[in-house]
Amino acid sequence: MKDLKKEKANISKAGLITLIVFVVVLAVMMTVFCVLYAINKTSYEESAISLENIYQRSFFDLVDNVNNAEVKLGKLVNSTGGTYSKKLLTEIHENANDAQNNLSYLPISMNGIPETTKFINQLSGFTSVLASDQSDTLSSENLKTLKQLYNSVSSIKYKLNEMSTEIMDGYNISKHSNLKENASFTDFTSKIQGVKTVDEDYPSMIYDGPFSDSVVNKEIKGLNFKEISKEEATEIAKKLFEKQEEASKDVEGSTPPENQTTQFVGETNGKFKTYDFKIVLEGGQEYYAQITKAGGKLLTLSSHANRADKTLSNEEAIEIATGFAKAQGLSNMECVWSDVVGNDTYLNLAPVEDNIILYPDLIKVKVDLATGNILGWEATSYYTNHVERNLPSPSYSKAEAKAKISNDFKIVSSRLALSPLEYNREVLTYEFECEKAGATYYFYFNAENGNLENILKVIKTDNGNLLM
Amino acid sequence: MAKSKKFYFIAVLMLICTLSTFSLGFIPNISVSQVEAETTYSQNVAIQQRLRDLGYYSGAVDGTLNWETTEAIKKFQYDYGVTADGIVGPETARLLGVDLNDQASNDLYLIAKCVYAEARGEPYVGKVAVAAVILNRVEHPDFPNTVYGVVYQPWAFTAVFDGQINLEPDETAYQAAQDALNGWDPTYGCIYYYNPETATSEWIFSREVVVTIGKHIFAI
Repeated sequence: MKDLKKEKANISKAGLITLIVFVVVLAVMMTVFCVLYAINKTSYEESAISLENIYQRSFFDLVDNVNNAEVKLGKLVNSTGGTYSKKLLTEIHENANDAQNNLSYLPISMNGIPETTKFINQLSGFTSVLASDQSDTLSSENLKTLKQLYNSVSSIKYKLNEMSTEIMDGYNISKHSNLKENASFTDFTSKIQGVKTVDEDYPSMIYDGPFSDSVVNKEIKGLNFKEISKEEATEIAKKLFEKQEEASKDVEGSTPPENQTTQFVGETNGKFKTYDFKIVLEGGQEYYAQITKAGGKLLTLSSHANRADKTLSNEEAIEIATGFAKAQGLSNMECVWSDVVGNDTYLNLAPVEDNIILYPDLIKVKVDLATGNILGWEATSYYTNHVERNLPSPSYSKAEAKAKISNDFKIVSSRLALSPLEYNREVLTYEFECEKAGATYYFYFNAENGNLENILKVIKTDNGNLLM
Repeated sequence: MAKSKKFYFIAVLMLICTLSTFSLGFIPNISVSQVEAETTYSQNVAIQQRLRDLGYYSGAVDGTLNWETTEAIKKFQYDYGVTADGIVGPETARLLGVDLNDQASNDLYLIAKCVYAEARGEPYVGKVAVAAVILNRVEHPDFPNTVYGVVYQPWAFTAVFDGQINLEPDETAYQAAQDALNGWDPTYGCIYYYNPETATSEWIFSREVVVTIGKHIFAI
C-alpha cells in the first residue's frame, strides 16, 4: 500500500517534470520562432522596399527623360537648324536612350508595350542619325516627321505624368507586378499600356541607323536561284556529311543506326528559307546544317567538339577552310581575319573579284584545331550582300590617296577593297597596309573622292589577328 | 519510470520536429549555395596564356583550370608575394595583366549562363539559337539595348525569374554563346522562343513561327 502510494507520487512527479520540460521547450521554441519570424519579416520588408524604391526611381527617371525629350523636340521643330539643332538632336537621342533603359528596368510583362518600346528606340536611333548628318539644315520631310514625333512624345508625357500622380498617391509598383492567373499582363503593365491608346499610331521614322526598320528587314540580295526540292537538298546534305557518315560506319563496323546517318529535321521559314538536316555521331556530337531552298547553298553549319590537344596551325586551318569553301562552289575566298578561342579558330573569309576584296560578303568558318574538322559555317552576310556589282572604276588616283599617308608609315601593300559602312552602305576604297614601329595599320581611302573612311589597327595576339 | 522516460523522449522529439518544420519556413531564404567559379572560360584561356608566356605553365591553353594551372598560379603568386591560394583574384589578375572585367567577356559569361539555364537539355544548335535570340533582341527596337538589359528584362526569361541563371554554365554553353557572338544564328533573326508543352502566355502562340529546334519553337 505504501509502495503503491510512493509509486503514485513518483509518477505524478515524473509527469510534473515532463510538463515543466514541455512548457520550457515550448517557450524556447516560441521565442526562437518569433525571433526568426521577425528577422525574416524585417529582411523581407527591407527587400520589398528596396525593390519598390528601384522601380519608383526608374519610373520617375523615365518621366524625367520623356519630359526633357518633349521640351527639346518642341524647341527643335521651331529652330532654324545649325549647331543648336544638332545639339538638341544629340540631347534628344540621349534622353530617348535613357528612357529606354529606365523602361527596361520596370516590371512590364513581355510584349506589354512593344510599340512604345520600339517608338522610343527608333526616336533614339533617328535623332542620332540626324545629329551626325553632314548637312546643316533639316530637310522638310525630316522636319515634318519631327513634328509628328513631338506630338507623340507629348501624348506619352501627358499620360506618364498622370501615372506619376497615382504613384505619388501610393500606388505600389512591385505589389502590382505579379502575374495573376489567366491574365496575360500584370496590373502595372495594363496601367503603363495606357501611354498608347489603340487608335493612335506612332509616326514611322524612315532612316538607316540603329533600330531602323531597314536594318531589321534587310533585303536578301544574293540568293536569286531556282528553288530545289527536299530530295535534292537531302542529297546535298548527305554529300556534306559524307565524312561524318564514314566515321559512323567505322565505329559500328556495319551500317550505322538510323540516327547516325543524315536526317531531315525540318524547315526554317523566316527571312531565309532552308531545309534543315542533322547527323549525330557516336558519342553524341551533333552536326546541324541549313541548306537554302533557293539554290541549295549551305547557309549555316553548327557543331562543337570536346577539347583535345591542338595539332594544327592557324595557317593549316585556313587552308582547310578555303578548301571547304571551294567545295561549296566559292573558289575565290581569302582569309581576312582570325580568332582562336580554346581549340577552335574562327576564320573570316571574303571573296576577291577582279583584284577587289569584297568585305561586305563575309563568310565565317569555325575549324577545330585538334582534328581539322569544319565545325561551323555562317554565310548569311555572303548571301545577303553578294551580287554582281559592276563597281565603277576609281575616279581618284591611288597615288593621290597614297600621298595622304604620313611618311612615318611604311606601305607594305595596297589594293582596292569594297568596304561596308554602317547600315547597309558600301564604298569602294583603296586599302593600304602600313607599318609603323612594328605595328600594322590599314588605311581606307574613298576611291571616288579620297576621303579617309576608316583606319584599322592590327593587334597581334596569340589568338590570331584582331582588327580594331 | 521507463514509460514516462519514453513519453518524455517522444515529447521532446515531437517538439524538435515541430520547431524545425516551423522555422524552416521562416528562416530567411538561405539558398543552396552554388560553387561560383572565380573566372570564366575566356579568362581562364587568358590566364593560362599569360602563365605560359611567363614560363610558369607548360600545359595546354584550353580554358580549364586543371591541377597544373592551379600549381602554376600558386608558383606565380608565391614569386609575386601574393597569398599562394591558386585562385586568380583581383590582385593576382592585376599582376598577371589579365582583365577580369572587360565587357566582352561579361557579355559572353551572361549569355553562357542564360543558355545553360534555359537550354542545357537542348541539342548544341538549340543552344546557339537561344544565344542568338538574346543578341537579336539587343539589336531589335522592341527590346532593351544591351545584353544585360535583355537578359534581366523583367519576365523575359524563366531562368532569370526562378534563379537558375545563377548556375555555373558548362563548356558547351560557352561554345554556343561564342558561336552566337561570332555571328551564328540558326534562327535568322528570331526574337522569341518557347516550349509549346510548357508555354503559359497565350500571345506567344500568335507569333510567326520560323523554325523548331529540339523542344523549342523559335519565332519572330
